[in-house]
Amino acid sequence: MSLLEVNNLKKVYKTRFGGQEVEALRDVNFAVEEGEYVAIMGESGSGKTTLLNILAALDKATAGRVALQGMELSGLAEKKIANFRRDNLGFVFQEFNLLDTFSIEDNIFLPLVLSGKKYSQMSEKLKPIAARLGISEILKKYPYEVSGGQKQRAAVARALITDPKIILADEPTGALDSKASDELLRLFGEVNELGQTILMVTHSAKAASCAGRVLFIKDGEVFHQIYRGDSTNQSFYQKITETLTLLTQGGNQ
Amino acid sequence: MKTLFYPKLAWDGIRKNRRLVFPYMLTCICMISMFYILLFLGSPSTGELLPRGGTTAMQVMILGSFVIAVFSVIFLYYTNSFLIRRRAGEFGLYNVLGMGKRNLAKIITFETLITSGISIVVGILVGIVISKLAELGLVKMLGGQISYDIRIEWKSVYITVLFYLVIFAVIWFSSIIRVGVSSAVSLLKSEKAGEKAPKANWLLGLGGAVILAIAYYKAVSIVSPLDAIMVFFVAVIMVIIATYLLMIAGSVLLCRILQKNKKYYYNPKHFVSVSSLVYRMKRNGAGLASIAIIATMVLVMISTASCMWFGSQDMIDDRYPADINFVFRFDKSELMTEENMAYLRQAFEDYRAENDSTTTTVIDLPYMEMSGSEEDNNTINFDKSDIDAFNVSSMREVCFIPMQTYNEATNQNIALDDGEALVFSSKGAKEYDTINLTVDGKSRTYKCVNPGTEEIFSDYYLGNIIPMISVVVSDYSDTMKFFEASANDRWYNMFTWKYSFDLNDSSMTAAEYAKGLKEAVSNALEEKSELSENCWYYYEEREYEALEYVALNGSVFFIGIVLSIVFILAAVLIIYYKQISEGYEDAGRFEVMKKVGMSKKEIKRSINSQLLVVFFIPLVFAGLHLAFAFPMISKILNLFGLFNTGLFMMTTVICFIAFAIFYAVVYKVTSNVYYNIVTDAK
Ligand SMILES: Nc1ncnc2c1ncn2[C@@H]1O[C@H](COP(=O)(O)OP(=O)(O)OP(=O)(O)O)[C@@H](O)[C@H]1O
Ligand SMILES: [Mg+2]
Repeated sequence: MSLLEVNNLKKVYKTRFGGQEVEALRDVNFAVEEGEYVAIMGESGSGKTTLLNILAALDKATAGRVALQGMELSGLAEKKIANFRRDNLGFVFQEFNLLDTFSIEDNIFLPLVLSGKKYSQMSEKLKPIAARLGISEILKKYPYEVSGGQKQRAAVARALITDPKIILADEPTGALDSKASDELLRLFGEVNELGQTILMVTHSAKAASCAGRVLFIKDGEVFHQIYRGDSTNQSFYQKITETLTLLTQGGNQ
Repeated sequence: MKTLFYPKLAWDGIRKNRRLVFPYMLTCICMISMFYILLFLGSPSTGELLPRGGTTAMQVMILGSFVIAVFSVIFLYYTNSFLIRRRAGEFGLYNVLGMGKRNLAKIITFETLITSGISIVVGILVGIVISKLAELGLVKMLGGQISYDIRIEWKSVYITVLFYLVIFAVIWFSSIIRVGVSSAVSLLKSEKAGEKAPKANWLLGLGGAVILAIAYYKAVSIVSPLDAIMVFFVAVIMVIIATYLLMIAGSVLLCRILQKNKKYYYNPKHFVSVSSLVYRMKRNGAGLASIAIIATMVLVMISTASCMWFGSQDMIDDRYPADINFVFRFDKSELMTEENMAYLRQAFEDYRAENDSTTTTVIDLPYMEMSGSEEDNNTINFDKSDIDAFNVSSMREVCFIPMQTYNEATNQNIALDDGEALVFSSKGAKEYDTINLTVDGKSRTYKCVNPGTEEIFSDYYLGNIIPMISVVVSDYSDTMKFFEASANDRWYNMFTWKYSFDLNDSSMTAAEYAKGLKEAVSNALEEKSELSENCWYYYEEREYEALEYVALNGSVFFIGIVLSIVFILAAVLIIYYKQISEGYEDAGRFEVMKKVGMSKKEIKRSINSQLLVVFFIPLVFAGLHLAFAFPMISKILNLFGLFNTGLFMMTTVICFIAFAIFYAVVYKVTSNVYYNIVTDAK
């Protein structure tokens, strides 16, 4: 059994006044094994964010099945969803999504506090993570006082601190300069080495080339996927760009 | 076509921001129409419709319009700067898109022209329509003649238009300056500015608490009504400052202290609420303080004004104990003899018989009145002839009453030994067992006999303002002589005889009766040579004097209502804007919390608890302020001749409850606006 299984997933958006329907996902199938590092690529509007939102139970699928460790998301009661998200999933977003009302430390603690953890437990847990991410010095600062890269690392810490089964990242490097991007990708690689499963949506071939597998989405379906295998970052990067060219030029399959 | 470009942009800007601009215009319209209405009511033509006290009513109305004028300037100015701040992003975008400051200024100019033009025209029209209703209401309240002609006071229209044009011009100018000095980027950002975490300022927070404590202490420790007036204004200013400090700095401080307590803070129930409250209070502390101040103002005003209106009859009865009240003053003590008073009584009696009427004597009281100051050792010292303004609280009014008069008035038969007296102390004066009355180094000392409860000066008006001591003595004429020797113009009107009676049964009205009686009394005085030169008198006829009270209290009540409406409207607008701006701010935050694993229920609970705290703070402050102001205001009401504390208590409580209900409704409605924004934005 895979960690994450997605079968025949379909999502149709209805505009508010009934009118037009947008089919964001038509028939998505894939699985993620434990410890995998998967990147998802696709053109703008191809439904990547939609997919991630459904995986996160932030949105409901129109049809199809999503299961995490065999547990189906659609079967979750509305009340349990927030708990589920907190206990099993970690998020990293493009816009960091730190709350300006909290210090960096409190931002990271937020999911744990919601689960009712004690301060001493939380700070024990934070120490090694903060050290690894290089944010020990800025914990007491507020989001407006730190750089974008630091904010994103704080967001990663917030995702990691709950020991999630899977980390979902939506264009995590999107708002970072190349140096901060490299740093973040290095960290992702590191935590993946330690066994953390990661699912990352990205537009950047370079970012994708750090993953172990890349899924390409087009027209609401998984169009193609490539594995890194034994190839180096460099040659994997080559393969990805080739596939992307194919994706954009190939038009209809 | 090109000429219409800017007006069109301006109009679009207003339409797009109607959630912000329309309530602002509504407030402008309300203020303008109220201002016009008060000027209209303060015009002489309205005064002519009133039976008596037209001038008083006019003055009150003009005073009210003055208050609205000052309030308009402050309030509209700040509301507008809020609007400009909220819309800075929009202007910044225009700027980035290549519009110069000049063009922005043009847009702002046209917007101001449109909003102020509509506000003034509609405001005046509404004012003209409502002014008639207001006039009818006022005239009916004060018992004047109703006239149904529609009337426009052109002079009031000019003043209103001119005044608000000036205000709008100032507002326009400040907007231009504001947009002019800021760069495009700062304009774009200014809506997001201030996302810094607020720092707790210990000094300001504690300062606020200390100032409030002092103000409260001052307010409750007042003894005499005269002190109350002086303390009142100081206390009001202190309370306003303290409220702002506490709301802005104190609340942040409190939250910070809560955050220091790890166990409390890192609890799912408090974590989000406490940290968000810091932000809310920092951003909106000033708004909340304004709401609290306005609420207090409204409550003080309306409960005082309604107390005065509903207590009018009490006031009149206290001041004029009978239908017709005569007061005689004798220049010398030897004129104040039983014989002279009997002579005058006879004049009253003759007139009564002549006119075939029946009367009941209510008061027949000779007394000697002096003012002195309370000192140690049960001493009242009369040496100080001038009122020491800084020591009003020691001032005492002392009245000597003959034993015989007292016995007759109370139907008793008390006999005093030498050196004994009955001493009655009013509120604020102490109870004596012996009393020394000193003047020029000489003194008279009385041993005080248990006076019982039959006080005959209880209705005496002044006694409730300056503490009064009535001393009933058996050696009345000796006492008079003793003090008269040292009088030397130190006290005027020492020797007084009050004679008041009700007119029960007469073909004449009280006014006619009193007028004729005045002639008769004058003649009687003329006929007795020793009195003609050295005795003078005046009379007050209750029904006639009452009209003046009704005019004053009625117009004060009326103005209280009008001003309350204006102030409440302003408070509603502040609340509304607060909810809108918080809504936009919080929408993003709650979205993040959802992603991090907060359930809808938890989010909703956190919103509710924050809204509730923020809702209650101004109300609690207003309630506290009101409670502490209560003793002070009831003393001030004494100065106006109102001594019915129970009535004041009742009007205050009723007003507070009514206000709280209204406030809750407003909050509920505006909270929905907030919820809509927060849940819409995803
Ligand atoms: N709430 C919504 N209501 C209606 N349509 C939506 C909604 N959200 C997304 N869509 C549509 O669904 C499609 C997929 O959107 P989605 O945001 O998933 O794309 P994406 O792959 O994340 O794009 P990008 O790379 O630009 O972020 C788009 O056509 C979009 O217009
Ligand atoms: Mg997307």
